[in-house]
Amino acid sequence: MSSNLLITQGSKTLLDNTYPTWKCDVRPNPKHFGLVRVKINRLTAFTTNKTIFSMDHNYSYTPSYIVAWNYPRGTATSGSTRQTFGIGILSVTSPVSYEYDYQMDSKSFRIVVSGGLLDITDDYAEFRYLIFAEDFPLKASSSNFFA
Amino acid sequence: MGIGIKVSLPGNDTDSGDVNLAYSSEWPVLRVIKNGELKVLGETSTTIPHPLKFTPMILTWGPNGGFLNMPRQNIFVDSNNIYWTHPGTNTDTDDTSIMVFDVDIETAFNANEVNVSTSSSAASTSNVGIRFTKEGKDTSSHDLRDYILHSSTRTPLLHAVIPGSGNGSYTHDLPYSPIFLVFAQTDVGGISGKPYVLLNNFAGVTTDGKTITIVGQQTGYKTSIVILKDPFYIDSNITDVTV
Repeated sequence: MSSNLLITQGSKTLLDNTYPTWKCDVRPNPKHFGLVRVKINRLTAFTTNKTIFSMDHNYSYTPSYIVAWNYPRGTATSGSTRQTFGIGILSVTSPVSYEYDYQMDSKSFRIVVSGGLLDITDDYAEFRYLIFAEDFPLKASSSNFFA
Repeated sequence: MGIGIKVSLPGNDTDSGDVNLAYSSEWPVLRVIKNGELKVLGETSTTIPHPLKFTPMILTWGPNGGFLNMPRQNIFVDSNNIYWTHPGTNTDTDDTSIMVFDVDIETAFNANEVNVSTSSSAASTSNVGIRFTKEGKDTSSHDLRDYILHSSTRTPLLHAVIPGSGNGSYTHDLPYSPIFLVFAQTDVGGISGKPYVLLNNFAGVTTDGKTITIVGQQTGYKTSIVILKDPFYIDSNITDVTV
């Protein structure tokens, strides 16, 4: 027989075991959380993505994750794209159009640089990542996603 | 302070600060209402009705050549539906992954207190700890997906939800630069009303780490800043990469 757990505070639900929560395992090595500090002295123009960070997560499935970035690191606050640490892909539009992107599959997590049509020089960025045990077990169309 | 539950990590007291807690009822954990892959092959747009009666915080990933990447800029949400759109017919056989959280982005929330200077790298790796399983699961399971709370894991906690309108800024009270999301209403062709989109991917958000500023938003269009309380010290696992 299963037992249910429900902890509320006023109208707010604090814990409810009928729903999963995001959980980052603190035990594995390499760690499932961290800060990647990237310094590009010079990256010559390229046509295929450049992987700048990769780690195996050791799950047997593709887990969920978030990445938040700080750009440009180590300089005064300026520029319309600056965030510390907003979630999302980091698109750098000036002076060279390129993008820091993230990839997750059933084996590893990666940070890649794409779109470097010109040389990239003197670039600094930071990426905070959290990898969670939760995945996407439901396979559904729009009509039955919440069924 | 009212009545609540605190579970400390091994070797710590429950009053020794957030840094040493596996769980505190001062903060709601991020309940995942739904996590799944949406099949959208051959479609140009689709509407997913949801039963929540509020506008939930959502995150979306991929697909991108077989990988999950994030976040998607073509998914919107309001109090009735989640909307997916695509420029032309979608031919990608990989599905879009969506996670829907029990967070109403239109209702203000502030955590009761901030009790430490920063977040924690502490964790239980011993056999002593606390485990709450999902309904129908057993605490002997080694699959973390079976748990809602496990003291060998940490989870981001909801620190604040700040609804707003138009351009604006918010200065948080955390002693570090937190992870945050910004949602903003937008006009979308083919969708009535003004659903929210995750604004982070656009040049509409800036921050100096303490104050989050929304720029370029139209007057009267609603916004929402969601701030997550970090479960780890930011500098607890640093990797330096030089290219």
